[in-house]
Amino acid sequence: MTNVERQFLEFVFLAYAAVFILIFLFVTYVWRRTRSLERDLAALRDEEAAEGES
Amino acid sequence: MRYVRWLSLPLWLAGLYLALLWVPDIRALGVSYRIFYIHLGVAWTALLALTGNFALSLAALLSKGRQAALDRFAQASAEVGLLMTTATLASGMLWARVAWGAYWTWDPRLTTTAIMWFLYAGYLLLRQAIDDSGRRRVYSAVYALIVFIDVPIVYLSVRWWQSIHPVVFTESGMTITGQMLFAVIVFFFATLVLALDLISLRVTQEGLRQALDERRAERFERLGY
Repeated sequence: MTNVERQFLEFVFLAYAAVFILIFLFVTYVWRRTRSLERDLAALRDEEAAEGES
Repeated sequence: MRYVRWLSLPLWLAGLYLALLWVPDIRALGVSYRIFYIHLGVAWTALLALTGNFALSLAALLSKGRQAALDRFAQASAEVGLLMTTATLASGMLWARVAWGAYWTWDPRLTTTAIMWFLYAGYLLLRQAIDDSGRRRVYSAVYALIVFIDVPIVYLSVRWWQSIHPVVFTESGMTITGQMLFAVIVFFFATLVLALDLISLRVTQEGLRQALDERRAERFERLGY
């Protein structure tokens, strides 16, 4: 493999990796935020239930 | 949407196989031109998502009873459109370095795409800056209708002005082979399905956030804060 061919391969790898990393970061952010909102909502429901009982 | 989600993975695997192994090299650019497939997939998806943002913003302005839901979809479309535009710019810059010898040139296609990125980043910042949901809905919808003008300009820039950016569809026909077009289409559908899934995830999340905000407000009111 020549130097030029190796450089071409490196750039193909970098381009695909860049797109995958961007998408992965976005998905991770969305999932983490959704989990956090679900936890907050469940905690609020528990607090409301406890207030109702007392 | 749950079933569509599982379509994304085989489409991505098929797209990767076709783009990286099945399609032959181009003599001048060797293996490096294979960036083209992922670049085109995310670029077309970005333009579609931002067109969706325009249509949903218009619908949110005209609608009587479904403004909140349409606004949530418009916001999610803009976010995914911006994500795909970022991916387009990143993959395009790497390809430009190989093909043109520079990461960036002030070519009409590159410049109008960079402008589009800033315009839609501005859209999301505008939404962050307004607390009142009614005003946010109207202002961001009007802003979305105005900035959409750049989306067709991005598409037409290579046809209107002198550009070194490659064009797939020209007046004299396609500039790629049928085999390449097949790989492009598979990759495009893979990114499109993923984008729809991401939009659906963000809409669900925004709905959850609004439900939480409303419940908190009700509780504070009940407790007399």
